[in-house]
Amino acid sequence: MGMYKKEKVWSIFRNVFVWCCVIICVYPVYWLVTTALKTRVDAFAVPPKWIFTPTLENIKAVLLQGTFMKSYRNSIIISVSTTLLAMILGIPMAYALARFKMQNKKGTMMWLLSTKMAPPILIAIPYYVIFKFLGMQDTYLGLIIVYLMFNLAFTVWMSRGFIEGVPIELEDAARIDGATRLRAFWAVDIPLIKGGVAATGILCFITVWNEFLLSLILSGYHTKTAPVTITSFISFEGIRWGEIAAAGILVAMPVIILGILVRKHLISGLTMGAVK
Amino acid sequence: MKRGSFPCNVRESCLGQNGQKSEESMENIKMNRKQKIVRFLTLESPNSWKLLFYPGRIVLLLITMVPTVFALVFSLQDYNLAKVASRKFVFLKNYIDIFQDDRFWNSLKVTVGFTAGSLVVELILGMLIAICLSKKIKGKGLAQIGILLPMIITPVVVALYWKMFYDPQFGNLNYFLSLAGLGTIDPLSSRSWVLVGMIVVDIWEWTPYVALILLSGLQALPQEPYEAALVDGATKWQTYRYITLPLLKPIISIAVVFRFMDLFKWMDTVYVMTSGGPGIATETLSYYAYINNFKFLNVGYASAICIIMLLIVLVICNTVGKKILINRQEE
Repeated sequence: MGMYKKEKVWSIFRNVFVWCCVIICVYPVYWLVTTALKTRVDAFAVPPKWIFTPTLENIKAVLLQGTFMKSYRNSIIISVSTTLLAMILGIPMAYALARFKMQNKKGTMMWLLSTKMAPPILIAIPYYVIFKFLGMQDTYLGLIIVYLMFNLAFTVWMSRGFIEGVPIELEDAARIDGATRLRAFWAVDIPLIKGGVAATGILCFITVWNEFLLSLILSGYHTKTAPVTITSFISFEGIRWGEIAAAGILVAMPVIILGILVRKHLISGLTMGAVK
Repeated sequence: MKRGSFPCNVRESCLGQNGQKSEESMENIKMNRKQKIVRFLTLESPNSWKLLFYPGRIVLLLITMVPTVFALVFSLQDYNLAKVASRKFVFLKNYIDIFQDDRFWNSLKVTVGFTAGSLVVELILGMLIAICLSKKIKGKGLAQIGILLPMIITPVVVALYWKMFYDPQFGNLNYFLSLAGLGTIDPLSSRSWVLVGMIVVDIWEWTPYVALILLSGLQALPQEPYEAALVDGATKWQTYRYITLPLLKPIISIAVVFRFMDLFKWMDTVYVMTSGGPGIATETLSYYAYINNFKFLNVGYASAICIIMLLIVLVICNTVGKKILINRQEE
């Protein structure tokens, strides 16, 4: 009986602890959403107003602001193109690594990994000088190239894991039936790894979308991405918390939705497949 | 297991008749060449991996090696954007200057302090959360989604939120402190509190990540040792200390390596929240390199700092990282 009671106390403690953590994790999102819906007076009320009449003013102000919407569009263009390029180049590489005999596979994998580990500032400074020289400052292509560098290796690592998960016997069976290897890859492997590859793509998208430093340094007036634009809100808008919050929610919303969508692959993705 | 070798290759037969080669007509050789190309393109040839691998590899090589080589060259030059005319090779002068630069040592200290402080708390707290989540929890699915939020929200938005949270006049922090009957603080402009304030942000943002890594490790643990421990009458604490922790060691090191890599290049949050201030109290290595390049316009010096950072990362990546990642992939 004593044991049972003790276990019960622990169970209550565990539940309370976990849910406290959840509240702490969710609170900022709640705060951003409510602040975005508050009038200026309500946003700065001390003590904070928990009950208030919501207003769409802030969101409207942000949506009507040309620079922000433009940077939002830039973010979409850059994230999507980088993701597609990383997939087109990365999946064949992953297939080669998974299914062919190559020399020094381990070394290649390590090299791929180190491209991901390099501090972004190391890349940003020379690219800044190179792009200036080539007149590629403030172009989509420049940013896409730089982001590709951080995401290609990731795509290869992840897709390789998924392809290796497909039994080679399935491919062999298709080839005995007369399919070429290319066809077998297309008709057997791709349908089986579709889910994983989609998750990899989404993770690529999230990484590019959230990136700040490289965009800050290498983008310009025409190609600024959304995370860079909202940091300028703090200085330009003075203390308009409502608009900052509204813009913050708009920027974070796509990645929150996508992140929850691929939550099963999130940890595996963030550790380059080291954790299953 | 031989990968890439196909058991009964029908197409091989047309190439295998070397004996009669001289007898064959030119047309047949042409056919062979055409077939070879087709075999290469349809991935049937053992060399086909080149077709798959080289385009990506060349692109990646170009976009990684070019900037690295440039950075290396810049780091050996007296290269200042303000006085381009005087650009010349000075070899190791930048590196020697760095080692005598107090501000560099300060940034290293900040980076190490920040990394160590965040890492320790994230591991302990992450472990607690992981252990709780591996047991029965009411509404676990929902709880796990809630816990995901900090690490997927755009980091800049997170930094902006915390900046407003810490605001001494209107921020939530001082409101909560006043509820608890404590005085007010302004963490971002106090030299002694600012690093703690920044570490708290990182803990909030990345503890869930550590927790979920550890959770996946906990869920993959074998059952037998626990049954044996139960039979031997081990206490709960003993079971954790002598069974769970040792078994989790590889997963814990993965969490440490990945967090270390991120913390080491940490800069976004600094840029948004403090710009390295007050004074230079939160100036990290990345940020110091950044201002050297974009404020002091000293490309050579900034590049040298970056090269030092790269060396540190490469050493760690090639020792610890290699052991952990490659070995696990091979399993």
